Amino acid sequence: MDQTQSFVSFISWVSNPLTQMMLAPLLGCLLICLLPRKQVLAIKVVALVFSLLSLLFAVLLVTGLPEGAVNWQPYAAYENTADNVRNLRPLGQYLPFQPEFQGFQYRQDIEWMSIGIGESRSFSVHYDVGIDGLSLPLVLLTCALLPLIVIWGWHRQERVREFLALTLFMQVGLIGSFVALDYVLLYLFWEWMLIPMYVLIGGWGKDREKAARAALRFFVYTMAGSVFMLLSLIMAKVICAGVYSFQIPGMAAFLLNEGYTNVHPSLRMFVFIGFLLAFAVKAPLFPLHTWLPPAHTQAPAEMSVILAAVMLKSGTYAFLRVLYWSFPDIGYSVGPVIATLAVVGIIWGAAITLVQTDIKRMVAYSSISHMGFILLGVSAMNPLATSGAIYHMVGHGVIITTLFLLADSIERRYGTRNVHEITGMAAASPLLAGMLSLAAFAGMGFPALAGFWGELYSLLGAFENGPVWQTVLVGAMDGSRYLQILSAVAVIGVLTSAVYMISLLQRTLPGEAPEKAAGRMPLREALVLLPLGAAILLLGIFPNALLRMSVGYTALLDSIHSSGLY
Amino acid sequence: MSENQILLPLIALLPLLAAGAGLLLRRAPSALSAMLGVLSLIASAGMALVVNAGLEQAGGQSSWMIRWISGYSTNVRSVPPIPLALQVDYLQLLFILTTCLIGVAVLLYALRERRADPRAGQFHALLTFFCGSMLLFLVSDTLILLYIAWELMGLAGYLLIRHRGTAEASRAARQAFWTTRATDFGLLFAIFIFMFGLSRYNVNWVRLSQIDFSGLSLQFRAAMMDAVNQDMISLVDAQARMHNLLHDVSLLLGIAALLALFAVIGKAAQLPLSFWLADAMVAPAPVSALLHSATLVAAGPLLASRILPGCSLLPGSEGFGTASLYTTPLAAAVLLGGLTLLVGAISAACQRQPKRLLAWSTVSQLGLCLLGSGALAMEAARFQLLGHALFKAALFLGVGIIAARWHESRAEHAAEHEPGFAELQGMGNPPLLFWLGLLPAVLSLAGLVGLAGFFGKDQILSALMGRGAQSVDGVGLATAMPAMPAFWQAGTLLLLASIPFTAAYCARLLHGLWPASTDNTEAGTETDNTSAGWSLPVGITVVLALAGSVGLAAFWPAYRAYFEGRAANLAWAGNLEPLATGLSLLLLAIGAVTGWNIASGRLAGLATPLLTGVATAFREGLYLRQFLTGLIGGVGEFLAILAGISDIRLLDWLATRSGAAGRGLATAAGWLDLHFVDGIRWWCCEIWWVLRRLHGRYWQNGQIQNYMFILLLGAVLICIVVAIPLNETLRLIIDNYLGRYN
Repeated sequence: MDQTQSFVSFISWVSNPLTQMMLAPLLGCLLICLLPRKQVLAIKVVALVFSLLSLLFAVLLVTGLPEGAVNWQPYAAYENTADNVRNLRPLGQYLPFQPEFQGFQYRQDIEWMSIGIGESRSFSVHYDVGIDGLSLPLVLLTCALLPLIVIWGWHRQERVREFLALTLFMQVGLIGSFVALDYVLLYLFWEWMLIPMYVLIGGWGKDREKAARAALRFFVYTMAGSVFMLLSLIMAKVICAGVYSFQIPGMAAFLLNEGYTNVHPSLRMFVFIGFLLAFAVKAPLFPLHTWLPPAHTQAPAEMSVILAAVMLKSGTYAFLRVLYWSFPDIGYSVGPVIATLAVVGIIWGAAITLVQTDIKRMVAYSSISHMGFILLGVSAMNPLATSGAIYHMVGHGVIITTLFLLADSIERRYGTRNVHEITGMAAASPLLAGMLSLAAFAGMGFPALAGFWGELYSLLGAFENGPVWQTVLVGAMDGSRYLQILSAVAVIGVLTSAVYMISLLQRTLPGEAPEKAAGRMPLREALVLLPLGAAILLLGIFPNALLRMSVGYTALLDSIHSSGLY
Repeated sequence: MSENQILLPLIALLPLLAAGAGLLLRRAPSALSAMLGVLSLIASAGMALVVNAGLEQAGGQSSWMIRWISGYSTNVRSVPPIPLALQVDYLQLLFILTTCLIGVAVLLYALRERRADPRAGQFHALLTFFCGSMLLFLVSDTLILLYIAWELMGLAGYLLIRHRGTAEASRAARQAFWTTRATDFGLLFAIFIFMFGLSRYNVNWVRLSQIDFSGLSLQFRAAMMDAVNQDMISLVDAQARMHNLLHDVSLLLGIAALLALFAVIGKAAQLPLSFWLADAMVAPAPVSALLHSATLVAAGPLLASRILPGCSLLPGSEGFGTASLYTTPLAAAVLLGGLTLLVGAISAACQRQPKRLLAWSTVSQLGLCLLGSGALAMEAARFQLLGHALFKAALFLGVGIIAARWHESRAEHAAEHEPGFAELQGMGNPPLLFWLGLLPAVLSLAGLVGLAGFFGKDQILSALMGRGAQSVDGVGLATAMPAMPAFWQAGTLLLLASIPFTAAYCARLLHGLWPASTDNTEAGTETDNTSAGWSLPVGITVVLALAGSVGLAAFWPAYRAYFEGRAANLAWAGNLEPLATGLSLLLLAIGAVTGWNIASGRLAGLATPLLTGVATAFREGLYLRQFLTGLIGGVGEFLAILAGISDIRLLDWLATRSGAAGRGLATAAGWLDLHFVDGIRWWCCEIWWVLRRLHGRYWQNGQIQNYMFILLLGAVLICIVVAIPLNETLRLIIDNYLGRYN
């Protein structure tokens, strides 16, 4: 490759909005590393600026630049002919996101490395990124949360450089895992976000000893999942004879057509289960969840937020992106099992939340319970449930962020996280009490708040469920009826959430506040909590803003699920 | 259509916004938030009147709709978009006006009563929010919006019940919220079935679903008949298909109605969940007045009367008339409503506090409304609900005034203790004029002829006795019911049995509040001191009582004529039933006399241990609260603890054990490495060492004979080694050479 050509591809790489969105935090990370350790304020400002820049890029993905603004277009549009997904727009242009479009937008596909030339080519890895109705809400969530947690940690004075550099470094991995359209790239980003998180939990936890153990547990669990992912990835490449690249759309197209007729089902099942294990650990699906509570409890508040709001979502995201796109038939047959485990997780998590006394642990277990709704929606396989799951990924992300930050604020105020020792919050700080009430009601799925529509649509979708369900037999039961019963059973979890949230409020709000706890909420906390509260309200009152984003994606997925193959 | 429609969202939105403003303006004086609420409610009432004026042209209904949630349309299936639809008709407007009226009255009352409360502003804002969510419930047409309003009311109720902040208030609030929220899922799943089983996205469609489905079934039948005539399918086949269709539709409708009824039971505090309403009495009087009359609990029977008729019958389907499934929701409504009516009345008669008496009376009266819905006397049930809302609000405010004066006269603000009848005797009782003002409300509650409470009850009774065909919501249902099903007979008996108890507790209430027992000497002056500022609330209460009992009764002919006019072909039986009326009046008189005498202690001889025990059981609501909370709470807590323990002890143990198993494998590998892989080297060394030892001990030990022996052995060995090939060689030589010379 001569120099001009590599320059051309470099320019086209840099001019992609998605790349820019990932480059911003990476650049910020490098800059922070260059700054002297003592310049704490400068480091914080740099982190804030670059995370805001990333958020700006993410917002521009949705809105587009206004007419007449700089829309540069250095090279001709890249037309991806390798699969049936067309590219919509020329590169480098910020145009409004089109929800109805059934495919990837802002897609860019550059060959990264390949083995062999021409006929003897064996495989190639691509830098293939794109965004659609599934990944856009999650990218937005990630980019919106980062500035907030930078502000939340503004009081931090020690080891700021390391903390913020790692946080920004992790953001690259988080965004990357949502936009990557190549299995190797996905795997890369998947591991990328793991390592900073491990360091941040282990190194910045409150109790060093316990934090190190929790971080190790988190790392080992996730790593074990990743091993299965790697295995499946290799296996998938092997069975996709004639597909040279690791690109997800290309391999999905093969698996849905030739792969479906030619490859032995047990091989595909093998691949499916490998991926399933990897994603189920991350999500987390019921029996694989035990790494989550200690990690949440020990991690610093900012990392609990990222872990619960974004990193868990990468598991459910991968369920939809990989499993239910490439293996819908196996999804149908395994679906009842996943749905059952999800519902068990809903009730299990809710029940355990009921008896916790540590606020952070409560929130962690409630998170397990709520992730069950997303998994239930995912495994129901119809547009309603899928859009409900996508909505709940964001809705739950916002709610759980608020709850974790509130738990941190309470801990700082009262010096304890034990709910029995926390009283009089309403007297101590009405704003804090109000925010806790709002987040608690949203967390119990109260109507017209952010938690409502996701749960409603997941339950609705599971209740309605897809056409194929009717032919799937679970024991003696009709698949459709089985899922209806499951969604009715899941209501126990919603109800239990009302019980533990109300109990939490009634324990902590009334009564006399201790001397040290009283006082106005600091500005940096208010700056973070008020936007989150507004988001909870707005998402609940205007659900369509978010639901509409995934219309095209759900329609595409539905047509794949219901195509004549099955 | 007139442009009045735009007022529909404002009717609900204005009070909600006023409530939000009141909650935000924490520093402002509390009167401001109350005034905001009052003004917004008056504005809502005004807008309702404007809409009402234009309703005639609009065909009796006014609706407003915007896009809300977009639907899906893929090549496989489509989910229609869910609009945000609002709709009102005359009846709903009537309820809207009532809610606004009671809301204004309660807010004005609360302004006086909560004068000393530091959180009065928040309290008034929450009261406004309560009314606003009820108004939203009344105007909403989209089912999901209905559910949201339904839940918002639960939230407002929760916040208001726990306003006092005591442990008891917190417990009652928690209990109310959990009970209603648990049953609300019935409504949610009913909505699921309506939406996906039957494609009904709003209430109006649900209400009309009988008509729609009977039309559909007629079309289907015609199509089937055509097919039969053209010999495409056989007659038996067509009948079977017809039957299947009707069966499926009726089954779904029946299940949905039962689920919705479940939600109604929770919200309207019907048996066996009545306990939460009685416990919610810890709330201040304005909350009780609002909770028990126009909001929250009233939503229950209202929903039942809106959903039940559309779901319970499928007329025009002869092949299906024999199955009993389609009457199940009606039977459930009648039996539950009737039982609650009776048990609530008995419990009310056994109470010792005026407020708790009124609470159980509400439970009982809502049972009557549900019974009316089950008897398909929808208009009567709603009329009863309207009347009940007005006079019950008056009674709660009246009792609240008495209790507040009692508190003020004793300077026990902080105690927040609800006085019983015994404590009220002779202290702080109101002047005779006030008692007389409350009188029509109590009499109406008892069901005296000519007052509002009478008409509803009488009409329900005559509907139950099957004397008149029923008008269902003006929809025009030609009923396919058998003449007098058994559960209607049971309902009739329950209703009749409840009348004396109702009369008895009304007499008890009147006796308990009787001003004659006031000690005139010094209490009178005290009353004068404390009566300052109470004239407005007293006036409000009296006006409400009069409006609820006398005014609404005067309205009855117009109300009846309206529905008669609209559904003239239904032969609405508006005339009184002499037998039923006479019987109910007789029972009423017996009950009233007995109740008064018991209250004044003249029948103390009746207090046998058995009767006292029974009365105590009823006073405690048959111990249903203790039973249910013990059962659900205890079992739930046990399971939760079990899950919590097993999450750590079992699941996490399994995970760490599997880690430990890995460690075991590693240990095994280490052992193997040490003993086998490394062992080969070790064994080699061992053998070498043994050889060295043997060598040292036996061979090179310096004895000459050993050496000689070894030498000899070596020689022999060499001989053997050499001799064998030599032998071969010799043989070859002999064979080849010597033999040649033989």
